[in-house]
Amino acid sequence: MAQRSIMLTDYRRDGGLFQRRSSWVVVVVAVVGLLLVPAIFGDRYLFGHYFSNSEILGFGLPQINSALIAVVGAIALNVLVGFTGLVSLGHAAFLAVGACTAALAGTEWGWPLIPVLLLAGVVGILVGVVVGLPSLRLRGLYLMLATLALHFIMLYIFLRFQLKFFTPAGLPFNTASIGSFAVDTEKKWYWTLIVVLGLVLLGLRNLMKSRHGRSFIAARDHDIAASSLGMNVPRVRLASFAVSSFIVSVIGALYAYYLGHLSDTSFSLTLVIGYFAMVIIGGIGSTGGAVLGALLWTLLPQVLTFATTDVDPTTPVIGNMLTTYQGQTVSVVMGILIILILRFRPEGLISYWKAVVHACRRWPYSP
Amino acid sequence: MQTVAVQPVNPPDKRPEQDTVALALQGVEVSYAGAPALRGVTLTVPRGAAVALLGANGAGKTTTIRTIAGLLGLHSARLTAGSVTTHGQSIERLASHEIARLGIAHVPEGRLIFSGMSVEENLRIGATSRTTGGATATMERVLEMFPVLRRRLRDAGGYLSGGEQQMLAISRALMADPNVLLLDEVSLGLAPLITRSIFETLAEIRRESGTSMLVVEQNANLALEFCDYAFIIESGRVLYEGSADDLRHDPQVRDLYLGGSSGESAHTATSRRRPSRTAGWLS
Repeated sequence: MAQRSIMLTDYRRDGGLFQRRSSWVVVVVAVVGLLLVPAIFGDRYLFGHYFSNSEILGFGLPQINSALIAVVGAIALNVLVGFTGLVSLGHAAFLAVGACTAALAGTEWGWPLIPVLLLAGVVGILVGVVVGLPSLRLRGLYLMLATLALHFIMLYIFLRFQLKFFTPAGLPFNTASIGSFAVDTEKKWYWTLIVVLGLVLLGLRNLMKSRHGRSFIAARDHDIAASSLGMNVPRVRLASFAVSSFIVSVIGALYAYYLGHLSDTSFSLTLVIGYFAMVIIGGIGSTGGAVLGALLWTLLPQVLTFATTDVDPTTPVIGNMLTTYQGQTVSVVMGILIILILRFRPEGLISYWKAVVHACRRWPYSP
Repeated sequence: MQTVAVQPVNPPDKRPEQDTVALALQGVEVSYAGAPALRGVTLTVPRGAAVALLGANGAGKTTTIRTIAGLLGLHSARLTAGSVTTHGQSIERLASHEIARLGIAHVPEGRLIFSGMSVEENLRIGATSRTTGGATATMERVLEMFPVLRRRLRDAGGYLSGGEQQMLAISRALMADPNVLLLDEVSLGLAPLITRSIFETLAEIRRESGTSMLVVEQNANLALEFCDYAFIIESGRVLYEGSADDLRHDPQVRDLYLGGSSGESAHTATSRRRPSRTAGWLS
């Protein structure tokens, strides 16, 4: 094995936020990239020309904002499924908990945004801990079924709540505003969501580097070893449910504010399965993987639709198929892509990133 | 149940006094979903001693360890009678993490290394149940005793060889600064030389820190060499007990559990009745 070209010589550097000078380069590139996103995908007057959504990659800021919400949701699901190994189908239910809380505290009581989000998070923790109780006895598929029950119970409560306080059409939400700063444009939403995503990423990064984060992974890998090493495994599982459902409920409330209107049909099992797909495609057990998976899952269909829209019906083989069944064809292509990714990179999208990082670190010793 | 023709090598009244006992089991009975595994096990580990627990496959050695570590619930087993005490404190009703906090560290069968975490993280996890400070000093000491781990500190636990993983499992348990160390099948799947070197290090640890050890081992010769005292269990009962020296020189024990003594073929009634029980695991 080639000697690594970068070696860490003390623990302070190893534990530091930026371990190498190259980390700063990554951060600068990321910040510049984030700054450029609204310029490219927002109001698109590039070089004096106006471009519509369908002219650059097929998506604009609205799609990116939805993707960011999905990213945070996928990160939270990964805490539970990836880090702690608890398979829960209650993900949409926690989004619904957040939305419910936002409707009650925000729309009914007129609370400002930040307290609403915090309340949504606290309610999420409470529900999460209650839902987590079966996880003390059940594992794997059995836990999945128990949380499936939660999904339907929660949706039932949501529907009753919706009909009691609001109309059958759904829950209305106020415009989100922090103090006098009204989050009313796509661009403002973009920055709000980026801040939320940044906080979640930083918080989770610190958590997973701590004793508590390690205990999640220990309880997942060998619960027997974990408990005989002094970890209270039931409490670790509940803590994982609490962390995950806190994040999901907060993002559920934000999602509600972002859409401005939600009904019980917004939280389907398909949504839950989509989140699982994001986590698995990205690389289960990796926060970065959840981010990549969620971006791929939400944005790739847009790109594929864009790429197949202007096909001439007379094109041989694919022409007729694409003009008549565009949606289905996009789904099929997406499915094939996912199968290929999982066939050649079962560790998910994050393994591509890891391969690149590894190659850079070892440079110039090995390719 | 057949009676055993052999008297215990050491009569029970020679057992150590209670105030010097690190770990004591009294009439422990355990069953797995109704099927009894332990039928009244009584054994003691004196403070600072190394005690071997020997027996054939299925005799109840691992169940005994699980009982002490409080892991019966996770294996759907139940303690139906008896008591377990450490330094006079009753622990049979405690959860395993509470038992760990009382200073009983467990090196589980099959090592159970956290394969995705680095060696260092595995060690830090071991310090979870520590009630005293000084984890960093302990880690330094542990790495001195197992230098191979220091070289691989940043590698994922899953990339270590079997012997290195066993050293890591022992080091992880030592990180808790335990009073009692439960060692379950340390030699499992390891080359004889590596097993011997691990036991030499364990002996060094015992000399240095006075940690009491309960050793479950298939390699009875090695275990008797390392330990001061031994219990032999069979079908969930203690069949013989005695000092390691006595057991090593007892002709029947030699014949049944230590691979036989050369030139002798004095099989006991027990071994003739149950040849399959004793044939497979002799070292």
